[in-house]
Amino acid sequence: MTGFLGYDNDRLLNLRSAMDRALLELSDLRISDPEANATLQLVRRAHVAIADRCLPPLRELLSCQATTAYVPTRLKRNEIAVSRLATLQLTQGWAVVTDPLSPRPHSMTIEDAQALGWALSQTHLKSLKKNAEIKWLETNLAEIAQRPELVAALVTNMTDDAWTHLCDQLGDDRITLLSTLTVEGRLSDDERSRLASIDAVFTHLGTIMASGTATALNTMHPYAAAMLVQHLQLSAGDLASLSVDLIRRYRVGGWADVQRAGPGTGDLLMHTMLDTPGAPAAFMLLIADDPAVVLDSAHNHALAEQLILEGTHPANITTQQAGAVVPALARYLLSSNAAQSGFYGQPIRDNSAFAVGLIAPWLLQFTATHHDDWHFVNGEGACLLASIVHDGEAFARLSQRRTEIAAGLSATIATSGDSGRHAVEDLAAILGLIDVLARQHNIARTAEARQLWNIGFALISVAAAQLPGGAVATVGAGFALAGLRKLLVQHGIAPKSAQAVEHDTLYALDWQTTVAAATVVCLTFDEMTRDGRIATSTPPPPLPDPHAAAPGARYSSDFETWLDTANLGSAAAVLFGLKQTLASTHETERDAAELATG
Amino acid sequence: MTATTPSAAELQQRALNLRHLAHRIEHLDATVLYRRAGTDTWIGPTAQRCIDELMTARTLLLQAADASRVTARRLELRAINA
Repeated sequence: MTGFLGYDNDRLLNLRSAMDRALLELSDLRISDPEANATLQLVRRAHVAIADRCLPPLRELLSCQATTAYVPTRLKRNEIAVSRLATLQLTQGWAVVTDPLSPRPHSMTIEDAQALGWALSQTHLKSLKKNAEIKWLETNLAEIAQRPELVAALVTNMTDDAWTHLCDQLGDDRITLLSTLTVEGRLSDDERSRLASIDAVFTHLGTIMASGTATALNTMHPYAAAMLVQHLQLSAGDLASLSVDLIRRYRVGGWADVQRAGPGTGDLLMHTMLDTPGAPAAFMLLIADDPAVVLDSAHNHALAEQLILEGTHPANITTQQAGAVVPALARYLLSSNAAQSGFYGQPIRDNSAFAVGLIAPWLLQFTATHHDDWHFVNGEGACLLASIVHDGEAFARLSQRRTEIAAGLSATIATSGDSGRHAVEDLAAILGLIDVLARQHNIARTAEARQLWNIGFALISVAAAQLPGGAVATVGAGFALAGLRKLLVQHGIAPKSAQAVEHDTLYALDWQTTVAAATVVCLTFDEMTRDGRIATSTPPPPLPDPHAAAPGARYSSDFETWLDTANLGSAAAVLFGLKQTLASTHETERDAAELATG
Repeated sequence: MTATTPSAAELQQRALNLRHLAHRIEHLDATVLYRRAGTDTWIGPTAQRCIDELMTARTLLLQAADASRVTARRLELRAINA
């Protein structure tokens, strides 16, 4: 970059006169003492520095000779790299000439920062065409961003219009470069450097804006605003609210990033929210009545889906809040085409598959015992669930979401008052729901039956952890549970076993509910034995028979016989109630009848 | 020819002259020229180089004043022993 020299003519004349006088003074300095030679040598060197190296350029500059190396020039107001000189030339009448010396790096001063803000506000940059200009901005904004006094000097002199204009230009430039990358498959070294500098400038501008007002975000292009928002360190609530506003503006259309090159406005904001704890949930609550804001704004569907799953996870929102969001999203997904191409023609998203993932943690809320949680009426929840899990493929997807289902069950149990009792009821409700879904879709293939088996055990583990006997990790510690565990191991009937799940689905579910009932009974029995409610000499409860044609019915029969003979007193009613909640005699007999008819 | 040994009075007078010289040097306009060459006068590479040279000149002059005082002190010690 060519250097420029700006000066106040009167002050420069004064400087020259002062130098002349100083040189005369130095010349007059004499002493005859021979021991003052060292002193006089230093004085002569000072004279040379001023006379030979300071004065000549000053004289040349003020001589107005045609041959001078200093050529008068008028700076353009949009040359931000010389904004301070341009400002002084415009406002203070300074002369500006070309400077034969190259500029040296120097620290930004408050005046430099003020001048930059002023220059950006007084002129609309047509474009930052030169890489050197962007680089200059990058370097100097980095310095400003690190020093509060420079930040204050810049923002005080920079209008919202200036923010908007600069950021819009940078944003458009970025989109163009990303489009080139998409179309041509590569960028030149210059283009790569420019892209990196633009990103760095956005980073520094965001840091600067974070310490002042952010009102310019309301007027700049949503894409540019989204680039800045990444660095504003907003609170979860503010970020969510601002993101909703920006995405809605973006969806009005006409913005440059509709060309789908690189991450768009929605993608940038969603990334930022995913990096901000609490923001996904806050965002989901705000868009519950307008799901398109999240589902049809990102170029990358996976990102939107990640945000939704994070924002609707039971760990992040309450059951009541989820009731306002999850059904609305599910209905929106169902109302869209099965293979949704998106508002801006984004790649295809499988709405059906995603809907399954959305509801998995909230399966309990679709059961009859919990339909009040979300104010479902007239079987609305069941209808919605049936629409989502509408075929074997959807059911298989649901099966794969057992971790999420268990997480939802755990969250619901944890927030219920009487956790021990509710745990058993909720477990029974979900197992029953899965049973219904499985039968609706006639799941018979081994792989899917195995998934069912895995779901069931994941849920039994979660519910058992809430019982008085303690977490499932303690299974085997008590006398009765040790027996159950031994039985399961002996017969290879564990969550990873293929043996049990090679039976058809009904057998698997019958066996599973039986194991669940036996687990709960054994845990409670052991607890009662420990606290003295049941005598230690009492025979342990029966175990399921894995060889029975109808394990549920056999277990019910054996269990009732045990209750009649074990002399349990008042504990008998408690154990019977728990067992019936999970595997009622009536249900197991029905299963047995169906298994018998094949 | 034999060199004459300066008297104590002569040595003290020379020391005094050197101290006066140091004082004059410290108060030369050249030591404060840099103040007139700041960014309210001119800005640019040439201006920056000029300021650097003026600061160099100031440093040299302050070193000269120090050197003059050191010499003066040495002469004063010789005067005591003369």
